[in-house]
Amino acid sequence: MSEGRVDTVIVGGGHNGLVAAAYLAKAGRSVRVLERLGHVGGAAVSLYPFDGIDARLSRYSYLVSLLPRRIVDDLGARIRLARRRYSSYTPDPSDGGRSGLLIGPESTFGAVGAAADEAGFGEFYRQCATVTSALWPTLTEPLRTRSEAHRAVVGAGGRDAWQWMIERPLAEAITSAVGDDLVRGVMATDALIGTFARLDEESLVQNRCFLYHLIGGGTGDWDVPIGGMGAVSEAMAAAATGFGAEIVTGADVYAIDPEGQVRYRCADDEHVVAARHILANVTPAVLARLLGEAEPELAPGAQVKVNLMLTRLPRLRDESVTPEQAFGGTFHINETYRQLDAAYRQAAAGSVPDPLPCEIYCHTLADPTILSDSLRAAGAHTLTVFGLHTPHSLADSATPDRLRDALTSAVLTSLNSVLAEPIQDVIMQDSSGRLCIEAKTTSDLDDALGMTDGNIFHGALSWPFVEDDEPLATPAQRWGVATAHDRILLCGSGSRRGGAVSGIGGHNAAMAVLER
Amino acid sequence: MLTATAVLCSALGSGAATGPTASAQPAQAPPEAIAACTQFARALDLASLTYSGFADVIALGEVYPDYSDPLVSSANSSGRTGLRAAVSTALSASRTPGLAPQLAAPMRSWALAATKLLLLMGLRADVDRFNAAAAQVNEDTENAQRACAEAGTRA
Repeated sequence: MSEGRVDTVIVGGGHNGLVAAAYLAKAGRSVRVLERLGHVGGAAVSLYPFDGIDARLSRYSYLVSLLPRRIVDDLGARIRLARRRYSSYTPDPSDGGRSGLLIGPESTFGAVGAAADEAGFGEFYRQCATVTSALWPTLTEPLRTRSEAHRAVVGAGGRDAWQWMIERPLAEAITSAVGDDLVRGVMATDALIGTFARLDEESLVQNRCFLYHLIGGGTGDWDVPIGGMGAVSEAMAAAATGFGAEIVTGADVYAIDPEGQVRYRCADDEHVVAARHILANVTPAVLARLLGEAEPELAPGAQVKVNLMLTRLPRLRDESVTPEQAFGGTFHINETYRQLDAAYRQAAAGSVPDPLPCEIYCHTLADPTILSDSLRAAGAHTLTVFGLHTPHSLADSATPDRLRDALTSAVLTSLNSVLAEPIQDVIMQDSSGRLCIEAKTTSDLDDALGMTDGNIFHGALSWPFVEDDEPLATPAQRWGVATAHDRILLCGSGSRRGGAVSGIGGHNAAMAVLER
Repeated sequence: MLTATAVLCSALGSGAATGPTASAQPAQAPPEAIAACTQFARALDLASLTYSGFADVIALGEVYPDYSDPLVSSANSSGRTGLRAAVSTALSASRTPGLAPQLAAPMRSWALAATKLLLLMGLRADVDRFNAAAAQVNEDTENAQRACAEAGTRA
């Protein structure tokens, strides 16, 4: 057994762990990152999932909104993002997708009979911006209290918006702002990504999800990482190692001692390393397991992701938009307000929703660099389908393979309901003749990435501020990364404000360490 | 192990190899129900005709079919072509204007289950996964046919 001592050990080489490592190493601390897998990046990785197909897909996470420019600049990370020209396209399920709502430089509310909602839609998001623009800069600062956050929002002119965005179920604001079922659905989906909830829930978990989907950069733009999500993690890893951090892959941590010892196996050897601080870039449940403590109950995940490789974009029934317009932003399928509600009820009763609410994003329209020259020239595209309201509890009803088959076919059927040709007709085949489809269920995320019950946020999202009576005595508490142990801090999505590919969890953990 | 695959052939194929399973005949049934059930019956015929060849081939083989075998490959290809059309026909039937939900729902469910079969053929799955999907198709076939019968059609 080899032994060693460093200032900080980071358990988990996902992008947040790399950000924390880079900040701490830049500050002169000795840092060792321990990653179980053979590569870093966690859920922010790109790879070649289809045999013989030269396309490097973002396998899990795929868009970037919450990564502050400041972190990129501080670390000198070479990360480039592409802005999508269109915000979204939503085919109308009531006519099988023969018409649809395009939102972007030239929106088409009239095409779905919702011209009267265009002004209310715009005003809704203008008011949301009064909240998000005031709160966004605070995400990389010590936590504000609710009262302080409220004052900041009111100062930005967001008194009313605070009320309906932070204090009341989001359903009320959406149904007041617009009347059309389809338009309401487009607005509602941001509240339900990876979050199994009704829009009128008093818990407001849907409001928190909505806030984090709109707060990025203060504008809520979701951009495409050039080169895929793997390029983001590679840039973070390069920054970390460039500043002197040590990254060990294939290092399976199996125990953490609250006094600062971390035990891991690497290449069949046992290792123990002592550290002043341990940053846990794992879920709170995984951390508890490593500490030998009772695991906290975490909210389970509720999504399925399907990656497709296409010979070309499919034809649409709606002839008023081109596939490039429709797939150029987020493509919503069967996500009207009523459909979302019905899907929730079906899933809560234990069934895969029919139709399954889905949204699609096409990476290669914004960034074709992930394709080989020949695939690009042939007109090939990648497509990512993200299915909502597929809670982890569905895993109780079938074997992993069968559930994956059921969810994948539900995704394809939902997609086909608005296309002019079956999606199967344009799915590429790999070198052995297999269709280029891969699906990732909540169980897959748990198995492959250690995301407990497949929750992509490592548990339910928290407000980006604390209640007025919550303690803020220690640096870890002030930065939202505290655990029950002084030496151990959260540094991933499980920390407060840490969800999505943002680096904020890693940044804030590093700041807490440096503040001590 | 292979029972469900065989049952699928039986359920879809009773009489299908030699001609239409049934034709919808009016028995005081609403016209949209007759139209939809007739169309759905065509979907069943098509699925049976084209899928049964593939089902027979994998029923005789190993748990994991040898997809490089020309027989399997050919049956897979023709089966998928037919199933694709059958799914499209069934979905079209389920969207017949004015069709009662109790008729539309099992047709849509059948299309979903058949899409799963289609997917498994494309993904070159093992026999066990085909069996599970086939069992679901069988169940949905019975549900749809029962609904059609209760609506007064004979499809």
